Amino acid sequence: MRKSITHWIVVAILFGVLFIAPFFLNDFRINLMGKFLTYAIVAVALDLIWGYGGMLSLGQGLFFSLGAYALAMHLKLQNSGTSLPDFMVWSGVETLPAIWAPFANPVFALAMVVVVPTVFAFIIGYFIFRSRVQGVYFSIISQALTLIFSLLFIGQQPLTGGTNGLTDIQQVFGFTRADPMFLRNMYFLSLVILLLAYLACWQVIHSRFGRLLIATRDDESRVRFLGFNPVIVKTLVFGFSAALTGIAGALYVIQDGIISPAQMGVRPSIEMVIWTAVGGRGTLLGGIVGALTVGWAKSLISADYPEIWEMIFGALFLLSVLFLPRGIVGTVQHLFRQIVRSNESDTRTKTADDGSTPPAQGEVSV
Amino acid sequence: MDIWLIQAFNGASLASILLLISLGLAFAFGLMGVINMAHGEFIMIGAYTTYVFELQFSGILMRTETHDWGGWFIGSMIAAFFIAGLVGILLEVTLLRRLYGRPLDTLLATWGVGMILQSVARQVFGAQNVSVGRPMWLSKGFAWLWTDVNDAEAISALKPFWEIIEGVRLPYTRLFIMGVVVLVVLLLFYYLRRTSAGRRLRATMQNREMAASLGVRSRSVNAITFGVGAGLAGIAGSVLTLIGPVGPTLGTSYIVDAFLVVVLGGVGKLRGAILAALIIGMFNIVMAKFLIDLDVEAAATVAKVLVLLLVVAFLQWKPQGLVQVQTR
Amino acid sequence: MTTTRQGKILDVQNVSVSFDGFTVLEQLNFSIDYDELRFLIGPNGAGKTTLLDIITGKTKPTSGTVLFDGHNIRRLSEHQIVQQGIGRKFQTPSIFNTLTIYENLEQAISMGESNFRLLGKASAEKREKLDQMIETIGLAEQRYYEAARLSHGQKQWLEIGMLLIQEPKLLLLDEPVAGMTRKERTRTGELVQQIAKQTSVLVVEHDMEFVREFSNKVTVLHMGNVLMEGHMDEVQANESVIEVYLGRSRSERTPKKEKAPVAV
Repeated sequence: MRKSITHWIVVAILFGVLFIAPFFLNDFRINLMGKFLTYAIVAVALDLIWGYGGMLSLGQGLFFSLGAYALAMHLKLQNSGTSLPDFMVWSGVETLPAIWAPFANPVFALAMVVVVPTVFAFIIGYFIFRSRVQGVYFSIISQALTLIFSLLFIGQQPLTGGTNGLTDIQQVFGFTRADPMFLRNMYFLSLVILLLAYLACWQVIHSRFGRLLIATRDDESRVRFLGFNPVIVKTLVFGFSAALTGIAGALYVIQDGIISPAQMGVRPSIEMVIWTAVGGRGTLLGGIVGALTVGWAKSLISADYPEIWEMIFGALFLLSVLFLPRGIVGTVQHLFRQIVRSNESDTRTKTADDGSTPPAQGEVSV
Repeated sequence: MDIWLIQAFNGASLASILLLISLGLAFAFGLMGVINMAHGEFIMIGAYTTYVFELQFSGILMRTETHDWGGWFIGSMIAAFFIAGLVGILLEVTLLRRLYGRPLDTLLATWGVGMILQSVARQVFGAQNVSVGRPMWLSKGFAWLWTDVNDAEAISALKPFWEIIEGVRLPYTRLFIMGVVVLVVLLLFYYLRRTSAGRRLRATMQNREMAASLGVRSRSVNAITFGVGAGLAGIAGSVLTLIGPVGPTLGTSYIVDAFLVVVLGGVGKLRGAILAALIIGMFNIVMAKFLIDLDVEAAATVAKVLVLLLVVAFLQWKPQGLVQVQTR
Repeated sequence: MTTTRQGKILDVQNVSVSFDGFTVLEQLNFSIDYDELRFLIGPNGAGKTTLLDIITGKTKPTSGTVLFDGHNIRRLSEHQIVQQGIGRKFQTPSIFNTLTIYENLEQAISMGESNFRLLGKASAEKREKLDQMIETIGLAEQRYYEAARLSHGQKQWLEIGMLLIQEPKLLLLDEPVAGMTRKERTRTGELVQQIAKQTSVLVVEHDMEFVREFSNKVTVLHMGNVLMEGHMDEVQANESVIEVYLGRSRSERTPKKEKAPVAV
């Protein structure tokens, strides 16, 4: 019980700080932080499948981008008014491609932000999990998937804007994107959705379904012999995670104005894993801490040492895997628990070790 | 018909490079449970080794004003094996050893290593791609031996291709690459089956505890195996200079396909890797050609999508990959 | 559950299994009646574990039919077969170490609920049953401990509890007394007999003393087929059984698991 109260206090402090942060930051930083908050959503969603489900997806960048593209397609059409989007004109496209047409409807586009990544994850996840491949194989296949799709998006210039992606989104549902007031509101919107995403994931984990997920992570075969289908469990969670990641992508694109295949490839996908790993996998809160920390570190280092920031970043990450395998939150949690445990009397451990207590005879009720 | 023959040939040459790369990945994963995301950087190291050799040693290693015998190139391939191999051993000893039993952590840690290595390469060699020359017998064929090299007209008439059937001309470079890979794989078979070091490796791969109890020092086996795998990637990088420019991110473009080879081939068997590399290499190239004929846009990428679907579909049927170690 | 139905709960008909050309079961016929307690013995490699794998869907037969409670379950996957009512206890305790005792049992009792319903709490009725079971297996005090903290014996009981709470119609026990002390073996034997009053039980066992003490009907498996079936006294007197066990132990000086073959 006490553990739970401590948790909610920490959550309240963290979100409290994030809520008042914009009042102390300049507009540029608010915009930056707003984007980091969308990263945090991604990292929390990834922790759900990796930390609790044992599925290390190296393809989250794909779902992020699919969500972002879905909304950006609508915004691009809005921005272009009656004419075709700029990149289509440059590629010599004369009529709006059929796949773009429905995105003129904002409701449809918003729905697709969730639907496309989810359906995608369902299909891919179902077939990978069904074949009972090991965790690592799942990682490799998800990585190949995101790589191939980034290449595919690059290749389909007239449809997707190619390497440049969808750029120059100035108007968002009638607001000017670059307006500081708008960006501030988007910061708060991202924060609220992050909070909702966090609560949703927390609820999932602490339900029977979540424990089934953890059980699946630990011993998939045993779960089968308990009468559950782990394939469905994993597919559902993978899809849910993809949905949250897609929403994060859409929130990102309205704050950044650009989405391109560069956000989709192998590299950004692994960076997403880094957020979760640095924050602490299997802690949920770690995703938020990790995404914000890594985001800040990256923007600071790359600004001060543009030449060698990658080296520093790689080294920092390496060191954190080596010496901080639990991540920031995981390590703090571990220390906290040790302190609590050493303060408690040792009665708990005594009763646990008192050997086997076979059931009393004749009490078996079937 | 001829065009398909050439595609098959290109497919086989891609396959041979993929094989060289994926062997190291399969060793590392099969033996130590290490997912080496920095493997692509061994390719890059090999490629830059060849680049440096051309700059520094081509004068002393059989290149004159008129004739390039390519001694520097052969030398650079051997050097690439040892340099990449040494970096690999260093990586195993200093880092990976601490992460055994945590495959997903090795994935993350080696990703960090790859990032550092790429950044170092960018500092040393610049972010721009560089290109490497080729020995004359690869660019011109052997006819230059009896032609006056100063006769520009005669030189341009030389055939850089090898005609097997009339009209079907295969480039020497790709033939050479395939030859190198066949040679390397044969040496590897010899190493694994005939030398005591190789037998220790196979023993450790099949049953670590048993091998250890029989006195095999599994630590040094790990380091050497990882080094050999890295060295093979180095050779791959070295020969890749023959077909394209060299840059800090050279390795990343091959690594995902190489991972798919490991997945498809199954871990722990050389035969599986060979078969899988052939299938993925061939399928990539031939399918791309087929799609081009169908007027599909971005055919090469669409072909990759189909390869991935093929792998996923195959895993439905045989989750262990093409060739699996038999256990009951 | 007061089933006194006549006939067979499990009927394995003409089942053959081979791995890579190596035949493990050949045209095997085997059946268990409702509420029967059956013991399955046989030398190593006789196909006992494979038979359990076939029944639980872990291995698919090359040919043949498996009827459970009148339905063909050959095409069902593992979890569907469990939902049909076949529970299996593995040799080593397989529980979820990171979950608490309570959560382990809660997971078991939640079988068959939709994934969506699993997001909510278990029904009051189920929670009550759960509390009873936790008392029965003697782990009430440790209910909020992570299962990893339990002793070996406690883990075995937890797993049996997880099986029983699912109320299987047929319970498969794979070497339930392996690694147990004499006292624990006796208790387990009594428990098994207790369980068998309400449900069918199939026990695979190497420990011949245990089999003799608690069995009624025994099936001997050899070379992927049923060698004989009957009471332990008959089995022990049977010439071919003696041949299989003693013949083997004579030719192979060190029989692996059956340290004490049939004491004839």
